[in-house]
Amino acid sequence: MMRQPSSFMRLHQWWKDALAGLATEQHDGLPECGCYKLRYVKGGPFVPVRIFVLRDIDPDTGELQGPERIMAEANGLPADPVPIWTYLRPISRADYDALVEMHRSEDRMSATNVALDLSLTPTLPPRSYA
Amino acid sequence: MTVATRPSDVALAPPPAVIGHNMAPAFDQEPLALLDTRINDFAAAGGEWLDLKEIATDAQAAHLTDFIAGARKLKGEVEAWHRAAKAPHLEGGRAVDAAAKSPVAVAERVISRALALISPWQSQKKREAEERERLVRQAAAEKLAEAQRLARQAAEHNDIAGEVAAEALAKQAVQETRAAERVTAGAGAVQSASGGGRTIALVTTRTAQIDNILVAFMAVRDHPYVVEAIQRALNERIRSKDFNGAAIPGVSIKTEEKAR
Repeated sequence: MMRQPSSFMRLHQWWKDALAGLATEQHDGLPECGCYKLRYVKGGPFVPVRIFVLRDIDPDTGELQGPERIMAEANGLPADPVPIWTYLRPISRADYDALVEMHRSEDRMSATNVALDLSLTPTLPPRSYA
Repeated sequence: MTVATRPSDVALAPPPAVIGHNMAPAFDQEPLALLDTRINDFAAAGGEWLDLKEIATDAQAAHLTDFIAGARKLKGEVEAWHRAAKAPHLEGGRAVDAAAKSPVAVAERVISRALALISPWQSQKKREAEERERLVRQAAAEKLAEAQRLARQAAEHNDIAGEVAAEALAKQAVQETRAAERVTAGAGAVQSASGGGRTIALVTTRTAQIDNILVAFMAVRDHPYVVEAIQRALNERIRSKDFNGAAIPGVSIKTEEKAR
């Protein structure tokens, strides 16, 4: 059976509607593609999460060769999007990239399962974030 | 071969000891020193933030929010240390206050009862002195009138000796009046029997009783206490949840936005 891959707009429609402030519902077990942030513990640092779809596309016909599989990447590591979906907050691509950069450049962001103590070292003005 | 002693080899004499130099500090200095270091780090970072002059991006605003959150938490830690370091001294002070409370209360009660006992006696003495002053004034007025009559009579007969006597009589009347006034002013005061106690005076105090609040207000409306009280009452009204924005006569409402 011939199947066309889902378009980018269709896959990301929910995420774009949420960013635009339109009324959207985050149904348990039904993750949507897009960029998000997540906190593992109360007071902990935000972790960048990306939900995307993995698919095998036939280069000759452009059709799907198998089912589209929804995947997640949390702080650069593969993750299952279903159990974390209702804890995710949608963010823009620019904010997602800025959060990734923060995790790369600030050591205190690495302890993601511990509340962040902002009093240990003062937060300085950002250098080159968006 | 001996080595020559240099002046730098000789230790300086220790500073002279003063009273209290061996006393332990009132609190542990080390935690405060650590907190001080962190506070100074935040102060330096605050200078970097102020160098920006204004916030221009969302990222700067978000990072500044983190800075403020960290500074607030650190302030909380300093305040917690403050409370903990002061607690033993506070408890000691409270124990001393509690121990002194009862004897002070008893002494105050004894004194107030004794003052209440002596007050009627003092008032009676004051009334008697005022009555004596009234009689002296009356006598002095008669003496003065007599002196004026004698003065007129001496003037008619060119009696110089009579004039001088009349003036002396008038002067005596004035002196007796003044002496009576001085006695009345100090009347009611009771001196110590032994000489070792303070004199207890009879003091007159005045207290206002408001018969008409609006009329009384007009008399004191410019007083700083009254202006401050009106300001506080108005602020309480316009900041209350039930305030509906209705205009208040004589008042204009200013609004300003501040970060908190």
